[in-house]
Amino acid sequence: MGYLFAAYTVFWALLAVYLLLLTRKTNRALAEIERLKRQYERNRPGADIPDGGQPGAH
Amino acid sequence: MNLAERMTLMQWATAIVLFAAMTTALAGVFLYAPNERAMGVMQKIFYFHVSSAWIGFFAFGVAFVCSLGYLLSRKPLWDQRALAAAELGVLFCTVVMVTGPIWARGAWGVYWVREDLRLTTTLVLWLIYIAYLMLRATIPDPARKATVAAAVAIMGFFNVPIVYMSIRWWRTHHPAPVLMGGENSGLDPRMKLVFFFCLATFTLLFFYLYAKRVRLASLEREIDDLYRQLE
Repeated sequence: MGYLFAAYTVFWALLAVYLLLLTRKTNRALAEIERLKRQYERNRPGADIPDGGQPGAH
Repeated sequence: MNLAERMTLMQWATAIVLFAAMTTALAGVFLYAPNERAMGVMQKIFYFHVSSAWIGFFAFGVAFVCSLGYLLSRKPLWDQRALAAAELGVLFCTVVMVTGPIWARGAWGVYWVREDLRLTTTLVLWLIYIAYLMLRATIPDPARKATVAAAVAIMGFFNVPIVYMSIRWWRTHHPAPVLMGGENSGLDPRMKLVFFFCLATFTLLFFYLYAKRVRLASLEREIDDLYRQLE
């Protein structure tokens, strides 16, 4: 009986760890894309940046 | 409702169906399927062990087809699909590599029999695709990485039929096939029903995880593109 439960526990543990890693990586990637897009917009030639884009400068 | 919202809704719907199917599969294994005469309750490892093995083989097959697709078209999408499938293949193969020895310890008294060719060929298959994932991490150029990885995935897949046939070609400690195994093989109808239900559930699980992993791969590609535009 112990072997049976060990095998099923391993299955659920592996699945849970994989899902957790996948979700964390996806969320991190989404945040990184948002950050890079903002940076790209700021660096774009002709971007409309008031007062040099300094926060609180206007 | 836009496409992204529809995708999220579909993912949630799949997750709910999957949860219900997994619960039913567990109930089938523990409450409906009869105990095997020789091994008793321990034989119930069979349902998730064999389903994981079949889905692992299927995942490596998908990686094989997508790698061929990449080599023929050179489109990154094929590479992302191959990576997702290979990674899931490794996940399911890991389940096999852990549940198998646990079952062996209970049935044979040892975790591993060195001369057993089913065990050895499965280990080799698992290591090939772990090498595939490691290799990807070491090559910085995306096009070169995808080409080399595709070659490894294609060559690695040729081990799958060897693993599958190993218990037919050589007599090993590993049990003989109970499905499609010949005249004296077979399963109790209730066991067969539960097994095929588990297999269907694992197939659904594979596609659920696959969609999530392909999405992550495309996000990673988008990040690389954004970095290149910023340089």
